[in-house]
Amino acid sequence: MPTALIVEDEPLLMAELADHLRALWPELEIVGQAENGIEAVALLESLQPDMVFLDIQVPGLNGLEVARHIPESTQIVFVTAYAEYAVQAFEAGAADYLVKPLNTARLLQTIKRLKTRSRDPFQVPPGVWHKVFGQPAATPYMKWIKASVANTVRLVMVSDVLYFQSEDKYTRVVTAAGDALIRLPLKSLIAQLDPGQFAQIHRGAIVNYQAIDHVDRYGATMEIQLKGRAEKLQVSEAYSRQFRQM
Amino acid sequence: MFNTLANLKYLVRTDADGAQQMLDYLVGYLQNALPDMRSVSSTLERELELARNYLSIMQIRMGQRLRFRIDAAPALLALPFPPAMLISLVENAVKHGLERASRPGEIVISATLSGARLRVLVSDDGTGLADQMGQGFGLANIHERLQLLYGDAASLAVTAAQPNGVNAALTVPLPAAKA
Repeated sequence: MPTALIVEDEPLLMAELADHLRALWPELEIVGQAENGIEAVALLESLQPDMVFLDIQVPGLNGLEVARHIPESTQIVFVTAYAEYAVQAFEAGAADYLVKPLNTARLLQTIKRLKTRSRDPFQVPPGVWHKVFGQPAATPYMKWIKASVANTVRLVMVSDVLYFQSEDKYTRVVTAAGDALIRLPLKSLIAQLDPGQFAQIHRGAIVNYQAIDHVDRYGATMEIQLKGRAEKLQVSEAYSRQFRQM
Repeated sequence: MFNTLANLKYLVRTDADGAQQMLDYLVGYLQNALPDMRSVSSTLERELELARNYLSIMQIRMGQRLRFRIDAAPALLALPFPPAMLISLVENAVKHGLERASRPGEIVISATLSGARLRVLVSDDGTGLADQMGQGFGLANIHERLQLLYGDAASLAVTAAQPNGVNAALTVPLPAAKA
């Protein structure tokens, strides 16, 4: 008898899928049910089911992460409320992809496919899926930073940051409301900031253009005076080009 | 939304009363959610109702994993409150705090007066601020809208809760203080 594992975090949806499978495929034995990704990986290992019906948005590890732990001998059917994961799902070697709410006719198609399909994964070159569904959107710029202030953690709006400054293994985040520390080095930070809003001015500093009052020049070096702040920021020669007069 | 409909589909077949209840919450949610997108102002009562309907739906869906409580003195309910912000914080608490956690969690919404300002706090005991960085579109959007509506008189503060979870506090000035 073929065996199946169901991974679904919502109890009613778990019952729904199990009911449908029992009705439409009586020979199938549902050997296990997991409600989070970690449980799923453990059950996949101990039960070695022929197939797994895998919800993508589950706690712990998500379905796509769980899929990486699935041996080739287990067929994967992703079940999700979101069509946007289709590309990644098929790249992960899915036998099929079901969108919730489930529809009986569509589930029958899946069952037919699972019955006739040999266990070799459905080979579609990754590029094809991108062509069909479009490229995944580029990562937008960071809008929030999680930073520590004394012994609490706080979210700081990136647009509120006046400047970032390296400090040993930390980066100081300076806002009008106070300072905070993050672990991320400037090098990783600058890649995630909008270049229209922030500029690196020194090996150890990034400034928000909006915080600048004016820039003073002293020979080869420059100094930034911030709006309403006492401290000045040095612009090193390597980064001074962007402040030369147009 | 589609997950909610999927739940409803199962309930219609197996539990007519449960389905009826889910549908009532869904209608309540949509009645409050849809007109809000366009209106400039709402009331605390309406925003709390929207959150209550949403949380009731999620409670049916998530079963034991979600509990919630709403604390607001009746005298505060008629106060004006900007639309669609509270629900966005509550959705964050469910999606980022509780849905990702493999243990049960609780969400508490409490409204209090602090001086001439109304403070609405959404606390959860879920997984907390998991990522160092967020693209946090919802939060950035709230922050921007608060600035436009009230300038510096309003604030959104998101902090880590002890021992785990997140506190998100929305503070807006009372109508008299605004003028």
